[in-house]
Amino acid sequence: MSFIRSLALALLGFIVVLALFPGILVSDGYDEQFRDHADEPPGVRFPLGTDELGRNRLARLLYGTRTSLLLAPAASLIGVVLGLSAGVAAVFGGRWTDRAFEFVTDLMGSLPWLFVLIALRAALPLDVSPLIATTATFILLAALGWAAPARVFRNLAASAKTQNWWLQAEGCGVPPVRLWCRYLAASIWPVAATQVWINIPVFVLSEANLGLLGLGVSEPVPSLGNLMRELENVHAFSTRPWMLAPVVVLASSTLALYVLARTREAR
Amino acid sequence: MWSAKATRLIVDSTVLLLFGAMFAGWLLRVAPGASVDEREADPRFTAATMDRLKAQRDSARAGATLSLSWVAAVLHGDLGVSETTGEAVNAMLAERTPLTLRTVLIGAAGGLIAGIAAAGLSTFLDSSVLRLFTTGASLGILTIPSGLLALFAVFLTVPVEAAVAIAVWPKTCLYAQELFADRARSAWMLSANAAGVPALRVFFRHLLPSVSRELGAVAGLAVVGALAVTIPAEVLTGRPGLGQLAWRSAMDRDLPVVIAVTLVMVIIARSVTLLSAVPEKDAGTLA
Repeated sequence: MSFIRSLALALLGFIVVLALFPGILVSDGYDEQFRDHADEPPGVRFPLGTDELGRNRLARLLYGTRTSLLLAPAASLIGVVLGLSAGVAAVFGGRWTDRAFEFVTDLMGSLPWLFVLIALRAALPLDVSPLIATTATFILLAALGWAAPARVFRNLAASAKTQNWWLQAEGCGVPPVRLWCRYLAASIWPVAATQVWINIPVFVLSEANLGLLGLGVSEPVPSLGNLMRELENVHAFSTRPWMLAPVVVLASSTLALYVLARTREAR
Repeated sequence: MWSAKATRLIVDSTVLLLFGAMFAGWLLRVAPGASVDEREADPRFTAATMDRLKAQRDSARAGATLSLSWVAAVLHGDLGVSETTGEAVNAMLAERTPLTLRTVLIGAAGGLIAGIAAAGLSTFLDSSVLRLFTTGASLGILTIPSGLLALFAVFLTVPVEAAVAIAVWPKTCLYAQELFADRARSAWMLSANAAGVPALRVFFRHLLPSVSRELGAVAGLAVVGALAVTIPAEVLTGRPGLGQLAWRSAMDRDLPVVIAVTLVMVIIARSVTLLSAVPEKDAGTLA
């Protein structure tokens, strides 16, 4: 297991380093257009060819990977923090808060996640800047992805409250804030970290699905999702296989993330 | 006792459905771009006409959500009229829902059966190689966006239902594999094996029935998962189902259709979740 984990870490590390320092492989920007080289197949100058606007596909792939792999963890972290706050508040807020929490998480669980995401993303103004569209996409992911971790934290906090050490600490007069921040946090922290890891590949894939539908990160900013939009022309699978490069990067990075999340969960 | 629980579940679910649809409508109304109208870019509309159209739409939208009259209309089966096409939303749903339900049910059943079969085979043969293969294949498929699986299906000229089944397969397989592995370690399984009961008999007569409740819950999850996968699959393959309607209505900001589609999706998801959870929750009471 540790060998597979090391392999996943090495693969993810390799992808992240290339995405953070694209200058190692390319000197072109992601939006730089070479009009004389539009739609070129792979060659020495452009290892993955160029798109129909003459942009270097490799440069766009590296910058797109950076967008997806940096913002998904941020969104995951926000989602888990929201879930943690809601879950703990449900346990310590009393019966009605807990009932309201159950209702809201049931509601979130019953709503088709991807559909709500599509509806909200589509409702953004048509003329927002790419930066705002990118931020909004990942904030929406975080705002909709808090419910599942929240249930985990709620159950964890509820179970901690019935443990002997908790009752003993309460009986000894340990102040509630100290009990929550020092002892409850210590038992919740590893679970929270695992939840962050579990959500990252889910968010990367959700953005990819949104990008395929034209609703993810907007042009010219690249992301693994919007780079795959070209594949809507399914003939490209056989005639231009180099266009599948974003799929390979997406699959490798999410596979590494899944393996890391699962090994972490198993521990 | 059981009837009281069932009544509570039904009441909870009805409230949840109405809140779900109202919540989706409210979110869409307060979203920053909700008031944007593509007709503003059309030079044939004068400013006065645009103002009038906007006022008309706003008043229609105000009635469409968060009002008792809307709830009453929904309970009477009136879901309003599409802002974009002027068609009755009921008719639009009636036209598209069967195709989506067919895709979801065939996809979910295919993914579930294949997942249970793969997990069962790896347990039955007790092969770590097979287990490693199924786990690897499941994780591999999980890394591909469902929309892309649908595009691959189009490329390979296989039915979209196959793409939905492949998307559903990994989670059911991984869960069933863990479940079977857990049961295979139990004392009665070890005794049965030691007593020389044939492995096939143990699997079909004892192991499968012992996990039927959990597998029921997995079936529910498979249907909900298939529903989520169907949206990008229908959009990208051009199938005129509920998923495509959901996407188009969201893109057009067609509030009555968005709310109606949300309602239908929540009904499907909630019903399936309840059906798969009831046997598990109330097994003791029923017995």
